[in-house]
Amino acid sequence: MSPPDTFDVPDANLIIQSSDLVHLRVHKPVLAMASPVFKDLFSLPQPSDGESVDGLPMVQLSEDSDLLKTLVSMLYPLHPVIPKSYEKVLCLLASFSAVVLNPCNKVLYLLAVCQKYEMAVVQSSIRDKVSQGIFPAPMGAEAFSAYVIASGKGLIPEMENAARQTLDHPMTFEILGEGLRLFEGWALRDLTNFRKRYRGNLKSCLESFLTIEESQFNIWTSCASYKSGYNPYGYSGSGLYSLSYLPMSNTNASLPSWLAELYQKHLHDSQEAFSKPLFDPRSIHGEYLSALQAHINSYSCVSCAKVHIQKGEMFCKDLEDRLMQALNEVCTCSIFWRNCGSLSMHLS
Amino acid sequence: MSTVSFEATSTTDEPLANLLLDYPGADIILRSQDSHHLRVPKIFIINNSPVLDELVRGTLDFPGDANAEVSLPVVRLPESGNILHYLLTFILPIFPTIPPTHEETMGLLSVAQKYGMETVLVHIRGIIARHNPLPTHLEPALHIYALAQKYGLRQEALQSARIILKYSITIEDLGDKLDVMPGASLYELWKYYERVRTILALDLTEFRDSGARGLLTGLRCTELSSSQIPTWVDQYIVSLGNAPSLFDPLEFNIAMTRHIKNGGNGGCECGSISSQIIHEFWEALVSVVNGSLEKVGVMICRAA
Repeated sequence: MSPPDTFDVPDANLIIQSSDLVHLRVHKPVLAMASPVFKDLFSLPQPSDGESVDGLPMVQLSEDSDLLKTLVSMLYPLHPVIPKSYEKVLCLLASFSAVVLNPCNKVLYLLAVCQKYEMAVVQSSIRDKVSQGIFPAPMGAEAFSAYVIASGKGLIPEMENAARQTLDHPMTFEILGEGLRLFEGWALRDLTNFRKRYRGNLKSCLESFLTIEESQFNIWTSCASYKSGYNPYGYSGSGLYSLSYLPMSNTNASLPSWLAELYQKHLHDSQEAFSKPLFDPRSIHGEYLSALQAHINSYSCVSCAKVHIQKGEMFCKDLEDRLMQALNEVCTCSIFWRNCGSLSMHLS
Repeated sequence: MSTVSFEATSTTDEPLANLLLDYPGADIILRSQDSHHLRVPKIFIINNSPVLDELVRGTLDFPGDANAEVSLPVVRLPESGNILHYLLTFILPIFPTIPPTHEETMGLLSVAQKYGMETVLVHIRGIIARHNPLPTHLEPALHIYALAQKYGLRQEALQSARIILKYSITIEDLGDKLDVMPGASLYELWKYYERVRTILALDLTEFRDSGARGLLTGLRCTELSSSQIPTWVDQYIVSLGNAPSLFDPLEFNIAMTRHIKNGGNGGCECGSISSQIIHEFWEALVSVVNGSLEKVGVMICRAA
């Protein structure tokens, strides 16, 4: 079923007029079920001289018709109407149009309208569609503008996701460019502090890996490779090898140097947390395997190969979990709770 | 928007607490947004402000003028009584007073600017420069810059932006200080910084190729750049184009010390460079840098 150009459902008993004077014919009970705000509105005595069109009462809303069509389409058994253009919806931010005019930000405005009319079910449905990829999500550096909009509109999950996504990009004036103009001072400060806190957690986590005593991280034995050995008995047959030990990390005698170097590389990179993307915990598995492979290729280390076969995957999972925890602790306990307290000031 | 009206109120009807100023010979009342009254001779007002001149004339042309003998014409203004009082100290022949806070001072300047009081603006700025100059530390400078942007005060925005240039400007370094700064103002600050860097790099390139060599004649260094000046001097000049915050005699001395310590051997005379040469070189560099800064202005965004 293709989406209709205008909404004109059968037996409608209410007309919604958008800010651009488009009429949408809908049912009061449907709106009332979806939104306590509309329910309260309809429960009030209607003025006898209220505006009406074709004998139907009319309610004027401040949203654009594109936005309202999408919103109302989600209340009926229809394909949701994806707005083709959001210019008018975003007119408040017209001077920043180059930055905000992207499909992801349109979805954020849609979510914000749901928040305004307390349409929790519709809002949840939109979030599902975003997670399923039906509705667009922020791509690349769009995360910065998505963060600005989400934080300004009090969309906590979107703000959290966008903040996390910004970590994949440098945070410099050059990267933000004109998008900087979207930010309120408090929002930029909060995002800056969020990044700093993640860097701090990441640093602590990596430093602990270099000295860690916990059993699940202490699986490594001394690196060793087989070398053709000296034969004191004059036996000249093939297959005589001796174990040659390689130096371990100088911070932790039970940590192979190749792994210590991997941690140290990320520790060093974390110093440039604003001019470079921050380390993504999900990439540790790949980096671990690459470093291990390079080590085995260079030194024919049988010891590390053996440990990896026995416990490597579990070790890697523990590493990733620990790093992810460092990230999650920042997300759940820092700007978001604080912003929850001040959201009422920013909600429009 | 200012509104003009007549009020049939006599002096005796006014609560004393609401009377902020009662200047001898007053023939008009300025009524503030917070209902304070300031009784002043209109000649001072109309001579200093073409905008208020028009407002006062509108008042006098009002039909209710017939009541002027028993009550004074009232000009309603949207500013607070406090700010109007500070403003009048610069208009009337009384001791001029500037407000105690930067916020109020910027507010005062913005009101003078709004009413087209050019002479008064010069007067206020002169008093500020003498008695309460702009702070040189980063945090208050950022605050002043943000206020200047908010009130559309180009001169103060430029002055504070130049102070901010002395510091490293990155999002990481600004950190918590960003709280006072709307993104639009910060964007203009960054654009200003970029323009300064561009102009500075061009002017310094010319200085390296022409002026600097003449100033450093007779200086024997083992490492000369393509501009035929000591490499460390050349590198220092180039670094200013990238980071204007390095424009500081201390940074210059650090660069020289590093050179003498690390590479200044085998016939290098940089260690015995005369203070006269250093002084002349530095003066020339100051002239180049100031010349570059003069070429760059700050855009006012009025975003706040």
